[in-house]
Amino acid sequence: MSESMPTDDHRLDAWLRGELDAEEARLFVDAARGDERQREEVDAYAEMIEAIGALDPEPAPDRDLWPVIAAQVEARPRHRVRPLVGFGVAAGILLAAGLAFLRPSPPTPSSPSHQAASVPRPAPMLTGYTATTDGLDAIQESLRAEVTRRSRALPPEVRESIFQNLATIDRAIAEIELAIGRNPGDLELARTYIDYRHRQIDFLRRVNQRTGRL
Amino acid sequence: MTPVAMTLDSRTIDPPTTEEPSDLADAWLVRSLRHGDVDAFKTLYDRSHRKLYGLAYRLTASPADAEELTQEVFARAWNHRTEFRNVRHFERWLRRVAINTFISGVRRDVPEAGLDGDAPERLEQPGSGRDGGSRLRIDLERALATLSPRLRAVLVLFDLYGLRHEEIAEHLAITVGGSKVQLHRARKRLREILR
Repeated sequence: MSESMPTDDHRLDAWLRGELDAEEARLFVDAARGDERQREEVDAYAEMIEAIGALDPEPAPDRDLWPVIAAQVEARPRHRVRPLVGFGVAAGILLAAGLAFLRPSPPTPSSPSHQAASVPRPAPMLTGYTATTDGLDAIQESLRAEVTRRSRALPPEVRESIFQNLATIDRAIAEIELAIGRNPGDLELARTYIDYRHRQIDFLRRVNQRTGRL
Repeated sequence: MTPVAMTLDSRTIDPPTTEEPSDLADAWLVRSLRHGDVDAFKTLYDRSHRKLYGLAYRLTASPADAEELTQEVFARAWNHRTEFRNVRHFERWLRRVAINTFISGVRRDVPEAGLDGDAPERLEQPGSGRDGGSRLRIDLERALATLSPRLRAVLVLFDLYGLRHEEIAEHLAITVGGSKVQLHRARKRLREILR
């Protein structure tokens, strides 16, 4: 790239068309300011372009726009509890995997749940865990205890990052548990819940592996 | 355990595809949106509505039109909620639809020949007492409002939002060369108004 730019009208037009990259544009403007013929015009354009770039790209609306949007959204059905009747085969598969604990007690393989439950606390829902989630709980608690112990030897910022990431996963799992509580018998949620529990354990294992090498 | 996609009731359930815990919450958020969770949609709205309104305002140069455009785009986003892959995709979709909706609306209301418009009248000089910077900003806002819709769109997308000509051309359904010509014309018109 040359140190100076010709300040002829061709370059001016290219600049105004936005064809020059940032460095080329800077060189052009600097050179133009040394050209008596173009100085005033280029200065005016440069000031204008800079002022446009300095405008607030996110001015706030004068009022809350959500109520109008919400009204249109609420006009359509939300995610609702679906009766188990339509999921006979899938229900059987998941029951075999030991997930019957996710239904309100007492668990029965073919009992449909049409009631959209009020938002329950997760604890009552968890009291019906079978060995599957009991096993996950035990593994998770053991790994978490190990992570806590090993993290004491880590730099504070690393320790904070680990626990922030764990908190993010914990929040996601808590939200799923609440969603399951509102939609008991939702098999898709149940499957996702188990997946996230496994990811939580996988994360804890990886942290332990890496901290063990330090 | 490696999560795999499974089929339930003829729907494919995709497991989260991100390994980063910080993305996990976002992945869950978009997943919830895809399945009709209004709370998840509200969360995404809270994160993105300022940016979308800002774009709408700069395109329309009218607070009322910007509000209407913003609400319309979010309502359409809800109708298309099953299509979103992640938060970034959602935000880019909002921007693209806002620009397309703006241009479509302009085409509907203004003949094609009028999209670029004739040079508007020059503004009166502002009163004394204001510093040069704020005077230019106020004049600039007013001047932008008097530009034709397409010229204003190209100008703000390039100079304020930093889009490349290729992106502008795609958004506005014009050629790259057309975008460059429009930018040139917009800058010259604005300069004439402000002089």
